Amino acid sequence: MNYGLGSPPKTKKQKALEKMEQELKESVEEEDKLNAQRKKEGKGSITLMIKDGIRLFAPNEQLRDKFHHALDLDSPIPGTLGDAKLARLTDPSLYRERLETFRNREILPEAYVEQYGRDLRLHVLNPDTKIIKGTLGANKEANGGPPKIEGYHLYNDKTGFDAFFDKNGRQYRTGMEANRGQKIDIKTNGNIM
Amino acid sequence: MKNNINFDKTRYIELLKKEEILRNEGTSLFNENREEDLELLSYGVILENQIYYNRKAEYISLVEEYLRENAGEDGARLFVWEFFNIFKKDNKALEILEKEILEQGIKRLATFCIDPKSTEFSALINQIVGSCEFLTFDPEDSYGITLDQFRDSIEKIFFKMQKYLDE
Repeated sequence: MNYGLGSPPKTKKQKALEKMEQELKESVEEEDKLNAQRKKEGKGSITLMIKDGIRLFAPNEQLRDKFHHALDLDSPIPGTLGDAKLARLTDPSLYRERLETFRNREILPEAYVEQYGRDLRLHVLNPDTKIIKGTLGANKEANGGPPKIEGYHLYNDKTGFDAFFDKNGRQYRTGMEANRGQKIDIKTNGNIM
Repeated sequence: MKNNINFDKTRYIELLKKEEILRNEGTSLFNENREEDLELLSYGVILENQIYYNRKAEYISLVEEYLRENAGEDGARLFVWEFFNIFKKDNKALEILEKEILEQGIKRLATFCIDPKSTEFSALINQIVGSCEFLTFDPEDSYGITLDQFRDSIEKIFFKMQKYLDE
């Protein structure tokens, strides 16, 4: 095909990847400024994601609390939390030893949490990840649990990973690779759990 | 998850194959036919429920240990970590099973028995997932549940789980 002096038209995929690159650049630049300010105020770091003009935030403290889902994003896990180490301790008589492992806050260095945040950002900005307005915990509320949370799912059907951000602060609540039942819930009523 | 669909193994395998072909073409059943995508997921739920049920002793033992040890915040953190460790392995087991079904066809399902009780047990597992996800240690977090509420919810689930111990 002859395109004359111009370059061939971009494919949909190329355009999507360029958009992702641009959003990643914007997110990182704005995050750097935000974290410099937070540092001055004595606050912890935060991961920022800007997708379709919407700003989403994942504070490191929340990422740390949800680190049990890090493997779903292929984020690295410290050796101390790896299967081999924990498997050695699974004997019920070693409960105290396992507990002691968890009591040590140094078990999860900040660098791992930050990497998990960066992997979460890549998930959010992935062109295949769609924003779905919905809720977290509607089933739990129906079973007498706390009120459901309104917000946004950032769901990728190719990887199955779903991240949820609340509507008010657009703060990260949780994210995991959905099981089959959860996928049905997300797709049919925009809810998980 | 509750599932009202009958397990039509032939149809399930047909949809699995269709999904695989579409994925290789860079699309998916979700993009091409939403109804069939949900139908395939519903069959997957039947197997998923059974996989959780097959590991019931391990799940129940983990819950029992958490309640017995009563180790506060650290105990809850340890429980959440270990619970999801098992849960994710089971989810991975379904992916492996589906690959084997694609390779071996219906004969792979011949040895996979479905217990009707698996649906109810799986619902309890999903309730634990919800409790773990809502647990918060931040007193300013207005959305979450406190450590005491978490323990209560796990205890209630444990009472319901006990009947599966001898089955």
